Amino acid sequence: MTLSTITIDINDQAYRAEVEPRRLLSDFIREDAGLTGTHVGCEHGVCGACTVQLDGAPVRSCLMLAIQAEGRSVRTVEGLSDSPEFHPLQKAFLDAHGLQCGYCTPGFLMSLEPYMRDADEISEQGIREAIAGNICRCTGYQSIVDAVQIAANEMRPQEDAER
Amino acid sequence: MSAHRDRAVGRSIARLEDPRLLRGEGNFVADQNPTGTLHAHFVRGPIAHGNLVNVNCERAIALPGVHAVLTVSDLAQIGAIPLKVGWNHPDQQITETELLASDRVRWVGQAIAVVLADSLYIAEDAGELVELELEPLPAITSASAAIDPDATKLYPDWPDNVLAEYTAGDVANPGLFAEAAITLHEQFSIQRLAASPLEGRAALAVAQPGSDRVTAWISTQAAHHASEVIAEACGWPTSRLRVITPDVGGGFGLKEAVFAEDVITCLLAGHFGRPVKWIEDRRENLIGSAHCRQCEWDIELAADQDGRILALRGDLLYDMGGEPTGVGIGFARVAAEMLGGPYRIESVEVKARGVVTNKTPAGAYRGYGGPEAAFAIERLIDLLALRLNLPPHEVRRRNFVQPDQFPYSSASGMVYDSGNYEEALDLALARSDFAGFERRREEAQKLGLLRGIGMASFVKPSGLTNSRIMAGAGTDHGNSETVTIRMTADGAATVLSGVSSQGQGHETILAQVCADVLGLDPEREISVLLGDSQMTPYSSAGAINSRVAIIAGAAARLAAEELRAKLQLIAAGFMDVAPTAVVLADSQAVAGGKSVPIAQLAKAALTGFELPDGVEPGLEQSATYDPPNGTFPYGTHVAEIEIEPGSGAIEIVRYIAVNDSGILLNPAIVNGQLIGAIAQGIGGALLEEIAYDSNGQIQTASLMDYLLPTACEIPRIEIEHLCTPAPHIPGGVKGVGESGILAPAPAIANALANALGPVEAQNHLPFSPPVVWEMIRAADGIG
Repeated sequence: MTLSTITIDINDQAYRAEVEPRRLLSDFIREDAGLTGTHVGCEHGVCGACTVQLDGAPVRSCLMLAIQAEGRSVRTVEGLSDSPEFHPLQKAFLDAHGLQCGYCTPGFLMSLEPYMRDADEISEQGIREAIAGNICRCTGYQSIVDAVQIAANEMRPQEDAER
Repeated sequence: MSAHRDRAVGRSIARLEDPRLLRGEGNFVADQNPTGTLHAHFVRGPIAHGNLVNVNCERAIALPGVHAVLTVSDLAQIGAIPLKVGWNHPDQQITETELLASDRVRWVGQAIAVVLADSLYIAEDAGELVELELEPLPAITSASAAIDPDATKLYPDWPDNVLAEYTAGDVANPGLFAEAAITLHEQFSIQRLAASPLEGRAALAVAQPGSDRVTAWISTQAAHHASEVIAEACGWPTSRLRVITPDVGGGFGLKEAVFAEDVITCLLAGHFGRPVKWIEDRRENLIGSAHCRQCEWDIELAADQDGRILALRGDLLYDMGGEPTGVGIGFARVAAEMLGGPYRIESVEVKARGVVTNKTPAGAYRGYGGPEAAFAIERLIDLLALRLNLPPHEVRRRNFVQPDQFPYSSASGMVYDSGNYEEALDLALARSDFAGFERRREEAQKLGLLRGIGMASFVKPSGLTNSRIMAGAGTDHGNSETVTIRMTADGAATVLSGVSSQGQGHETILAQVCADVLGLDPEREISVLLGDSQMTPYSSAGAINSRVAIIAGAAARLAAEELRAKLQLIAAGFMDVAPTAVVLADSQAVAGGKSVPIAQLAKAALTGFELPDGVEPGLEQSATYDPPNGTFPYGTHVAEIEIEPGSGAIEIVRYIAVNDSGILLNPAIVNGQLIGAIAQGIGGALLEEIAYDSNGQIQTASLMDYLLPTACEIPRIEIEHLCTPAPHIPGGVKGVGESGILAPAPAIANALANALGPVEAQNHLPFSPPVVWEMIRAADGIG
């Protein structure tokens, strides 16, 4: 099969590899870039475990080909916080027991971070809708919803101060 | 001295597992890619039943990048033998299963050949090139069809399609039924489910250079048990195989059993001397791993005129699929044994039969017989209340085992340990404002909605039982746990246990237990290593049956107490006091106003430089625990629902769960286990169903068809705790991993009956919108 050399920017670092046209973006991220924080749960776009951000918007990396992401900017869970400190959302998941097995967690974080950035108001209903495309089989979602509310409270004063 | 640290047990400390998982730095099987890995892909049968005439692998082998394509005869040539079933009953027709199909296929998705290739893409391409020659046979797609005397036999040399049977209880006195004031005779059925951990099954086996040894990272719930079962099927001594459980992405019972794919991955790594990796995809998980729960009850109940249940008798027909998994008909047996639930019923006779059908094999799933039993008995209780025109809680109250009757021996031989079932019921009624429901029903009516309230009470055997009792029941493993604790020279402790963790926070809770005994900080001074069949102490059964906090928790406590005794002895020498006067707290040994840092004691013990006379160097203790009996967490849940009559859609508007889980090691972890189990129970009540057509083709091979609940279907769950410590367990813990999953389906069924009036369909799960829509019409006398 013909190979293409592509470069994808992941977490502000360029990753270059020779790939088949059929290679999934999720495989490129996990195997070619070695960033295994992005997990694959269903390979057909339902469970949301493989969610990453493409140019800031959440996408399912199992439903995209790597070549479709060439020249674009991908952010994975490893890039959620650019310091040794947790992102407030990660910290809130820790505090609220927002994870159990942790397999779905990176997908939830990458879906929720843009929701929190863009939502005018964080509400329980809004949170539940924001994660309607992410399946967690462990928590029953309640502690995830709680974590987002904790994180929203944590992040609000900071945003106010910036204004 | 600084402020005293709070006790760790009973506090919702942050989980030790979470930082790595939140940063994407967890270590799941698929995350490792050793150089030279061969990727395994299984070729699976496309029809439900047929003779396998020929498998032609030539075109597949010829594909560049393919290393090997093997069938069951190839595996036998390199020494593999069939996989042993771990729990067998007398006269069971199958006690071992083939690693790959040989002359017949019995379900869609049964593995027939394995491809090894340089990449998974190539392996899957090659799988398409394996040619199967099959002669179709009629498919048996339900347990009731399987026991028809004229049914096609899945195994031609058996007398019928019954794999095994077990009768719980004694022969029920027929006179009790003939003379009883009230008798009920009902049928119940539960649909097929899939446990559906987000991480499917996975194995990576690596041959160790310079030896014949193999190290395997497997997504399993029981590392030691897996190493024993896999090594045996490979024809190896157990010592040749080291099984490690890294981070595991959910198990829920599915990963309790050892599967043929695990065996083949290890076998081929050893044979070819290269790493072999097998990562199951979702379709394989839904068709080729194991399903669960599908069964049919036919039960008679006898009661007196006051609603006191006198006797239960009947049949349980369990759909086992094409062959047993490692747990055999164990869950059918437990379902029959637990039909009496939390009630005092003197006569019980339930015959459970496991029947083979042309469907994916049935395996363990969270609850393991408990939910099957709870659905039947909790519907029966409500039907009895209806007959007597009594409130449903009153009938429960009249039949509960009473606090002064513990330990209570049930008619089927279970010994319930402790509790106050009525107190849980009363709390659930109060928290749900059960008495005020009619007003809420009227309010809903004004909006055109049908509102109902329903309850279910339950008791869940947890933590297995004593190893000798298990041997008598026919299992291949016991129930002991050994925990080792070592201290380093800086006074920190490393806790080693063979159990694995699939999200239950076992690292955290074991650290909490040890922290209090040793006076250490659980988050900074204790690390926990789990799940390694050669480097951690023996775990007989791993993380199954809600047993880790109970059994490994008790072993950890006992090991920590032995280590504490040694530290007290050393500290007594340092401070010139009696060892019994020494208290360990805040990382110090304290006695009579004096203190010595534990780190100083540890250094003395490890170097052997400054030890009191008679104290041997070294600071490492192990303890083994085997309980005299299991534990019996219990509770009552109340579900309040609203039904949209135009669509049949159910919304759960409130869900109250009252549970007694004994002593809570970490309340946040306990609540997470309960809420997660309730969410799975709601999924099984409303959404999830593995469906087959009449040819045995599976209709739900993706998550677009097999509907797992999302955040939009699961309501906020309100949890309340009672606390009766398990009297026979050091630490007083009862199991908590499974107890939450028993009540949701019967509570919702009873709420449906409350909302609509009784309809036969309320005895048959699940309650999808079309089913509920039909139910509304049936209740109205339409259709």
